Amino acid sequence: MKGKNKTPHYAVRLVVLILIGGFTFFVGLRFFVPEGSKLTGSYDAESLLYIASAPVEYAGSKSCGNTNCHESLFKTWSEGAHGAKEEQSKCETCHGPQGKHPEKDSKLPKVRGDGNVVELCLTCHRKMKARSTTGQPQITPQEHPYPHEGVLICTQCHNPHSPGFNKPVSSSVSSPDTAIDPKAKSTTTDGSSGGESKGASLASSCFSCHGPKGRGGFAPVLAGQPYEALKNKLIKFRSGELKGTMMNPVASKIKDEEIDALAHYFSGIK
Amino acid sequence: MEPIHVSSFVGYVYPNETVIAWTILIAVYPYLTGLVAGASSVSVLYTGSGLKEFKPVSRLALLAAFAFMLTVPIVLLSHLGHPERALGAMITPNFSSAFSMFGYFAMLYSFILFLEIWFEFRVYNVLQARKSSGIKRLFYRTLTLFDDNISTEAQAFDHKWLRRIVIFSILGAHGLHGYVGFVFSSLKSREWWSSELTIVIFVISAVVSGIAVVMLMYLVVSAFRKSKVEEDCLRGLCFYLMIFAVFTLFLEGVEFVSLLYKAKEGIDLILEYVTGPMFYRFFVVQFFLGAIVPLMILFWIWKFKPSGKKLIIATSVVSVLALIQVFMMRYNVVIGGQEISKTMRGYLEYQVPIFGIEGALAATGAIIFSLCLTYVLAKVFTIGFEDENIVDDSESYSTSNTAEET
Amino acid sequence: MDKRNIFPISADSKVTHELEPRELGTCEKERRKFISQVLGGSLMLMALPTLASTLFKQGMSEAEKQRIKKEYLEKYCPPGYDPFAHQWAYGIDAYKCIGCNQCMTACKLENGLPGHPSINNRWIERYTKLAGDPHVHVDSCTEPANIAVSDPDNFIYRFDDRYAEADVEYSFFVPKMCNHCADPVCTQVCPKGATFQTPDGAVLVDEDRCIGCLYCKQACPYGARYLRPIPARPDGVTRVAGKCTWCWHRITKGQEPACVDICPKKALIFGDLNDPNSDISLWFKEHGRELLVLKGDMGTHPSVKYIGINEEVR
Repeated sequence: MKGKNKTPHYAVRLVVLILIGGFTFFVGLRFFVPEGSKLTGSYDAESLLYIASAPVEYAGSKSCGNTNCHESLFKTWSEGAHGAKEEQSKCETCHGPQGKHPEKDSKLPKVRGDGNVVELCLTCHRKMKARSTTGQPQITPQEHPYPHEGVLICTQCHNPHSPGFNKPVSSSVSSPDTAIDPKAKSTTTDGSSGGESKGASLASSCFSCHGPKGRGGFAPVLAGQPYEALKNKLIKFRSGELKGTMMNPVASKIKDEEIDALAHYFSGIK
Repeated sequence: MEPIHVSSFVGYVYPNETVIAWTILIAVYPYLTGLVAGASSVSVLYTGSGLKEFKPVSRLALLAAFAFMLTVPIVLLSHLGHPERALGAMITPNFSSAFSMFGYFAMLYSFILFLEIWFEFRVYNVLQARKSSGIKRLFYRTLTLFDDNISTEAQAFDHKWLRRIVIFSILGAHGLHGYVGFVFSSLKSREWWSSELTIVIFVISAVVSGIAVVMLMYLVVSAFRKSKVEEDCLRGLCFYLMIFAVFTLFLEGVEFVSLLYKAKEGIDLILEYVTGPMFYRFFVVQFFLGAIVPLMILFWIWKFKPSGKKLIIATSVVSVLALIQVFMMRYNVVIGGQEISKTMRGYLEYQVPIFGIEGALAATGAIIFSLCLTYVLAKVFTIGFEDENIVDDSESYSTSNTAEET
Repeated sequence: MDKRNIFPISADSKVTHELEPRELGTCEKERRKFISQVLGGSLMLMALPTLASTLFKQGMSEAEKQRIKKEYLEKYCPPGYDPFAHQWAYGIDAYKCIGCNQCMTACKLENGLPGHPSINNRWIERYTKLAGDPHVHVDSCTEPANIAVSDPDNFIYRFDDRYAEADVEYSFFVPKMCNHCADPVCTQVCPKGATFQTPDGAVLVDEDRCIGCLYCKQACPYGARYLRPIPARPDGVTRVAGKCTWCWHRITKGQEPACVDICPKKALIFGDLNDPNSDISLWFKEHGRELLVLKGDMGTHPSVKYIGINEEVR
């Protein structure tokens, strides 16, 4: 610092420091730009591969049908009300995500979530003001022909894989699991022949409450009751003379000859 | 899983909205940048405009501004989900984002502020370096870049450059704070934020909070040191405080009235909200207690020119109230904006937790930290002017030519 | 000068000299000069962004664009998937939706979300107008009454039947989700480019680079974003922004998004607009005059279009 108009030393040092610091910082930053960002000019394209590599949890219904494991169930489903229409309830709608099922768990979970089958069905089938009335059948549990919420579960009368009316599938109250077993269905419908077989096949829908062969359910025992008593009671239930039980809506659909067959069947059991 | 802080709501809000994203720390963030802008405005009253009565507070204001500015990134970073990645916003900035330039801008402004301090205290640092020894000496020597030239010519040089830096410093301070306002007002999704006036209100109210905080600090320091308070300085600060408080009140009023008058979709909801859960925060604290009451006191100070104890008590009350008002305003903008649902069908009721990083304690801690930092800076440098008018002719060259520039 | 006294107020200054270079500005002329300097400086600062933008804007030749596209496809796209060849779109038929919340369950399980009803990629809203009440009532999964009948721990969400006895004028369900806007606000405001739009129209989040500032959550007019409290997958990250990806890991493998796959009513339609025979192209053609988007005034141009909603839905 000789001339009086010269810049002081400290100012020169400061400027040099600023230049070095600034240069290092901005050039240093360039080293950290990811390759993918250089290409796109903004985001890191590398992330696409990462996002695309996420595991698939929901495998889709087709993958169940394409294997040899669930062919018959898949066939039942694809021909029934849940699978035949364009609006399908998929396998995983009720069973939960099964993308890892074939490799990881050997056992297929019964239903998604907490396992409450009635609530699962009501997820879609409960009648609500906001639900359009077209499409799937909707019920109010308290008014359903079989008002059995908390007592019975849906799958005892309806096959979840091919639901519909008049397709009783179960002969057991205690084990609803058999409901989804197609073999259980065949054993109940097979049996004796003639008038008695008609009574037997009709009676199978009674078993869910009155117990197999009319004995052992939570509802009154039917087996071995007098023919006349059974017949009169059913007629009175149908006409509404006897009131206040769940038999009213049930009996309202039974024809005369069916009453006869049922009374014959139950009175014939020893 | 981390705990999820869910707020209760009235009406209908989107499910994801029940978790408030920006909490009290984000309210502290514009508060601090506002204090930065305000404090550097106070400092510039003397260093830039040369208003002599503000000399006692000018260095205090400058150091406070720097301390607040250093706290801003801490607050902002501690709210991020991944603070360790924050530098990435400077590596690959997304130029369309109102937020992407904040890192650069804040860095640039901090740097300008540092330069201002460096030039302001250069002579002081040289003197300190000469007096002290050991590590302390090394520290001050490093600060002076190992050049202890404090000749009159060098001082004139400093002053010339200080004046130039101050220009950018004051622009940077308000630019930065206006930018923070833009971060909020540029979001079209929130009716409460997306007002063009937000930026102006932010800047004007920043001056209010800056004057208030410097005034309070000055009073506290004087009381602590049992030194005389310059009453001209206090009156002058009060005068500017009054002007800016009037502007703030006016603009906030205009914004609120125009929101009501335009009565766009969701106005019923906003009305229900401001008269419901926000009533005390908005009308009572922010408008009445924080704006109208101090304005009346300020008017009294301006009109009747009290002195002594009366003035000190009045200015203390005013500055505390003004600080509360501006904080409440930031809170009402940040939290209020999120409490009004984007559905325009309901609002949330956010409860500030006490503990945790998003809690009230953390926010208070951030503000206390900035005050402590001011204290440390005041210890390292000085808020007095003992380095002023030092004539040092130890250097070889002549001092006959004093500063004729500027 | 007293060494210990480093906290003096101006009154304590001992040295006084005639020369006061710092106070040259006291005269009126100086002050005016200062103010004009400030104004000049602000003009300079305003010019800076314009300057910067011209500096950063680079023209790119066609050959260069092709090269970048090729490298992008080869290096960064999932094998066998060309994002330039697709233009995904999503349709929601609110007439068909029965509010079973199966899509929400499927989405959460597919994308590794917590069961908590406040963290969603998608959700269903119920709009109900009661006779004699001018206001439309809306509720969704965060409504306490709905949580009471749901089981979030098991990913089961239900609507309670609160309007069973009421005199309902109309009531319907509306699935809501990220709209994968053509002009997304979230990607506009992300400071880092951690959320972006792919050439096929999906708006994704790079969870390795997201800083979790949640500016995108504030900017989204549809409330479709959230902060991830648990990682999406074992190697994932928490405390980053999360959103619907249209199940990008599925659609790049030729599958539909989990919600579309699971919907028992076919109320959700997804497909490629570049394919004239895709579900979505046919659906758009069929319902062309009824198609609506949410919050069209935001200028976001959503790729998710609705039928069967009314003006109350927003």
